[in-house]
Amino acid sequence: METALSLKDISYTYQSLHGETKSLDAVSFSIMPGEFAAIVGPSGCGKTTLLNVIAGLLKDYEGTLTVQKPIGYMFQKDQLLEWRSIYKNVILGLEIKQQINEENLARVNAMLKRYGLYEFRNAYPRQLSGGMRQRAALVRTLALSPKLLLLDEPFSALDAQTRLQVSNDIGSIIKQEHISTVMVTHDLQEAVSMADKVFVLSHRPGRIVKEMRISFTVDTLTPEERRKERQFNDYFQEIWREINEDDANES
Amino acid sequence: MKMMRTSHERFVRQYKRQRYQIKLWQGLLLISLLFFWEMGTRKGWLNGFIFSSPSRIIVTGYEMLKDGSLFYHIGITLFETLGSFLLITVLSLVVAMVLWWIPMLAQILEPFFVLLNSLPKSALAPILIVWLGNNMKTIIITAISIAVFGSIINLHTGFMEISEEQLKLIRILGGNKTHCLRYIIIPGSIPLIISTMKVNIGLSLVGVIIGEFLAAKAGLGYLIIYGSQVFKLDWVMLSILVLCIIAMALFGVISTLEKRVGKYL
Repeated sequence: METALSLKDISYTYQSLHGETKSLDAVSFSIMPGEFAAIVGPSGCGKTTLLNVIAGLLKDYEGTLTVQKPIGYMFQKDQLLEWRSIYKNVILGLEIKQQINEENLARVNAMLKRYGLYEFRNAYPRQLSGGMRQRAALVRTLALSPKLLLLDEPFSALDAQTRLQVSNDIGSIIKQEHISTVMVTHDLQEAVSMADKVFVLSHRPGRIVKEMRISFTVDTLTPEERRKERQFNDYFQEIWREINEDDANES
Repeated sequence: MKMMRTSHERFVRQYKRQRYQIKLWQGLLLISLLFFWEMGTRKGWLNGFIFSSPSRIIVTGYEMLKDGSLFYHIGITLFETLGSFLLITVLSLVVAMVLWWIPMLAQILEPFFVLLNSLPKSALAPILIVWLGNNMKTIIITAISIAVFGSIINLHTGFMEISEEQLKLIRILGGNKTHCLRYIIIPGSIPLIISTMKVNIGLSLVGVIIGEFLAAKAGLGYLIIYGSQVFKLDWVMLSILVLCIIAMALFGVISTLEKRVGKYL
């Protein structure tokens, strides 16, 4: 089967007047259509650089990248435009790509209804809670029917309680829509609760030091249900050990 | 039956009373200033010939209203002010957008803009008269030169401060630079654009009056300079009074616009 995303020996180096900083070092991995991969690692290990390379925002990388398009991208903050209503925000991508037609609008409306935003479509972002805003940002991303979804620590701007709730919501929505996803996070529990595969990235320059398949007895568990499973803690401990070993090697 | 007042009602009452007192004192201050001015000239403490007086201003104003000359001068000054304000706004928006679009051009021109902005522009007015002649063009260009550089610098700085992430969003959604400008830079800068307009409307009026001092045959600035030369201080005082009203009215229009727009932002 064709992969949704495949990276082979991807390296990236930032240039500045003071010299070069190698951010990614021969990163290779691939994910299958519908798979959810989480990339964890210490801060400054090049996680966001990796997403920017995949998204095509950084073009001068080394290595081979194959990716199914279109790509959707979710930010740490929702980046809803305060001067547009929720509906206008959600159709922003369609407007830019001039793909406003009945079929797409019907799909957007159906998503708004399914995810409890339809009544708020004429509201402005500041009138919504953090969780609803992040859901609106997701609908904006899904409106373009992405084949691959990139999540850059999408819940890190939320408070602890909302964070659990929203990651559960968004994780379930992504599962329902069967979209291949790469999520970058430094929250190991979040990674285990949502992903089918976890990649552990080392300190800068980022290399993949561990790839781990996450599977629970039941395939359809929501992130919240996963957190209650016994295996959850085992996976968490295993990744934790891996990161600490890498830290120890570093020093 | 007398109702018990809640603490909130007491607070609102207190607040309203204070607002009322402030208005009252402002009114009293204005009236007493006018009163002592009038009394001063009548009793001979002040020379009415060079200080004019409220009653003389009213009489002069009435006469000039009757022969239509007051509206003529106000019309000229308003036309020049609004004209230069519009030109400043459009010009500085366009230039700021071009500078945002071509960062290298912005870097090249930066020291020149800083220099031109810190120069006292009234120093340029005499040169403008020589270049452009003793006419309305000179007045409008003077007004533009006073406000336009600061306005460009302000707007461009604001455009550059727009969050990088929002621009990244547009690129992720498949947009180009035009989309960034249309969907992020311009709508995201509306409050900045309005506050810049607020500064510009005041500066346009200053520029027009300076221009009229030097190169005019009509307008309130002309009336002030001509009145002081022929010792018709009634004209001068009347013109200053009218200028106060015009300045407040123009500022009020932009403030109202700001409040209207603020509701949607």
